[in-house]
Amino acid sequence: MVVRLKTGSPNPSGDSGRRTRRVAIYPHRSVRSLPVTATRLVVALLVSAILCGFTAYYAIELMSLHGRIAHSLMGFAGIPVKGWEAVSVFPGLQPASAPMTEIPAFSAVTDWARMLVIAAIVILLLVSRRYVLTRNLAGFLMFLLICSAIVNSVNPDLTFTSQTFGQIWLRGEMLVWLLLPWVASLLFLVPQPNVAEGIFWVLMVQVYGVLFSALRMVFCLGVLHHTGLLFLPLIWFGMGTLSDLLFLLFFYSVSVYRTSGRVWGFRSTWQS
Amino acid sequence: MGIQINMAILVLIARCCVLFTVLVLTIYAIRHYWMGFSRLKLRNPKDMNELVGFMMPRITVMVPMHNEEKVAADVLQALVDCDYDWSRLQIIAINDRSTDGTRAIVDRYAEKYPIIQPLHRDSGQGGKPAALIDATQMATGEIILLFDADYIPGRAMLKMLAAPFADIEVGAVMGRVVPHNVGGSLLAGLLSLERAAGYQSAQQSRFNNGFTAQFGGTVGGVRMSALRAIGGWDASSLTEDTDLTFRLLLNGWRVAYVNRAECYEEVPISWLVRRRQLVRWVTGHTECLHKYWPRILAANFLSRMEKIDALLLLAMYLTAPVMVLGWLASLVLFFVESAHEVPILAIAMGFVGYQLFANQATFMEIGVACMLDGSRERMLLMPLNILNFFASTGAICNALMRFYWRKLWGNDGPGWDKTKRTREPGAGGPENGNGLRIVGRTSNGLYFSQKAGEE
Repeated sequence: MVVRLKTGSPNPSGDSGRRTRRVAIYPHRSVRSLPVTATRLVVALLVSAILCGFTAYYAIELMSLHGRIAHSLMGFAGIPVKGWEAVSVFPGLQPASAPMTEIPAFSAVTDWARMLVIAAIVILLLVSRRYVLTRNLAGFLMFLLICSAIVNSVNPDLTFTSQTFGQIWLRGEMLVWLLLPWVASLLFLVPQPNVAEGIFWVLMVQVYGVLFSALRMVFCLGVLHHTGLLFLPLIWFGMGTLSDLLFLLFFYSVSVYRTSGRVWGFRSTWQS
Repeated sequence: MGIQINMAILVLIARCCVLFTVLVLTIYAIRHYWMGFSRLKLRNPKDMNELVGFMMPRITVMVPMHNEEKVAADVLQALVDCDYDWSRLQIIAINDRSTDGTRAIVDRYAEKYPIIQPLHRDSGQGGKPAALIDATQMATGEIILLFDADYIPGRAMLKMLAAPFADIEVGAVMGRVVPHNVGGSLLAGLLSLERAAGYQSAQQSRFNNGFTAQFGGTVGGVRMSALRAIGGWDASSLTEDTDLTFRLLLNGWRVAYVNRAECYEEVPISWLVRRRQLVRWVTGHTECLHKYWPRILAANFLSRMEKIDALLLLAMYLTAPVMVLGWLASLVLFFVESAHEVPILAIAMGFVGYQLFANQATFMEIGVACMLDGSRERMLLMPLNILNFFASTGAICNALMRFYWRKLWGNDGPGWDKTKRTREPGAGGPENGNGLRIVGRTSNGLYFSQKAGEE
């Protein structure tokens, strides 16, 4: 009997044997790392500085664009705009325009607006009872509503113009827009394996930040126009910086979702 | 005139509060960003992984149990299934005044496996530290390893936790805790993100950079000689693990972190259970802060960075009231009309935004951990973590208020409170959300899952 010893790859293709071997041992998640290099940090700093500088340099144009978007949205939402007033956002900077819409004082708001506050408190109460995890957030929102109701009741003629609101809004948002590139670079660019994609995320967050700000400002002005100052602290808290944080978190979670799958393969944690 | 002066003082105080808040949160933001990036880089992990299996000292495994009939059998079975040399292994199953079927389960296992020694505590001080004091008197190992009853250690777990003790400077070791009931509720999913950030990112980063890792009181161990040298367990402490970490640190020992030693645990699925857990942690942590901060500052052998890190770790729960203070101060600035005229309001509002961005740093750690873990779907839950954030902030503030109230008036603190289990006996774990439950182990020690209802 002749035993033939077969050498080399048993497969028809010469190199297919190599394909069965892994290029590298798949790293266990406990020892994984990503290259956070000095170069990457420098790129992140440069992108942040350029974007921040761009935002500062074109601040007026940016606020003007913000205003135009807000104007269109207000027209679309049927919020009457009496006109636009130039407001000073920061000393040394040319004034930006803020929309003029009527915000009634507490003494002039309709009964249904007052009922709406009570309804909002009841809804928040129900939500907090149903979903225990939301209790503190709902409690804080109720606290804001009650504070506002008390302040408005004590001083029913308290007025707050939409121009002042627009001015404060733009001040806050401008600070956010200036800060956003730095935060976004740290979150999206430094850990992202693909530099171009990281820069894309940073730019997208910045653009979205401006668009989303206009949308939120219009929503707030709409609420103020119909209900007076009763909801002012609530919407300021909910639609202001909290929304900025939430949209950033949303983008970040999607970014990590995509990166994580691409870097380590689409597999479950327990498989690695 | 008088009202105007009072308003001016109020505005001044509010501005100071906002600035203080921003300062504190900026320090923590820098710390979190640094830890996240440092972990991504994974510089020089010193987990002695190569020694796993070669370094097998005599060990004593302790499992404190109080009314744990739902989970007791799983943990004891998992421990006897570990591939550690039985001649060097002692398991002490502590039945701490249980009123359910825990005693019977412990006795049954002790009868079946000679390496298991039962310790029935029917009287005396309650709580885990008191139980550990009694169990330590029975221990014969050079190393004591601890597991809570709801944990399911893998086959190589004991070897992995024993290996770092090859380093004579290591006084304690800590493994990684991984929740297995992620699909149990939204809260469980959010807590799994928090755990991932805490272990995969923060613990590993601190260990890599030469800072002491935090001993968590479970999935970890302590060197018997080190424990004796620092005076044993502190029965009065609510968080005996944090207390032990800092006593070891102040006596020159290090706490090693083994990221690969992953052990499954059950996280709370309801907020009420979680809140009780949080209250205990906050109280214990803050107690340790008050107890050890002068000694940390005075310790000559600790570097400046080690001191800063230790103090920031102990003071981390104080950031919650500081943040609330900042919010309230911003609210005051918002309502006080005079502040509208000056840019300070805008700056205050910007700072409030910055506080939120500062918190982004902790979310960044979650992202880093998920990226390294390869977790994808659960990462999409992250925006909802804001609910957990608000809920925790309130619970922490409440716990701190009670803590300082008691400190002021000298009342007794909260008792040791056991976390409620939800797992059914013998189920090996609740369904993980995909209709799967952990039902057994493969030959290499990995647990495998099965569709609910399948045989």
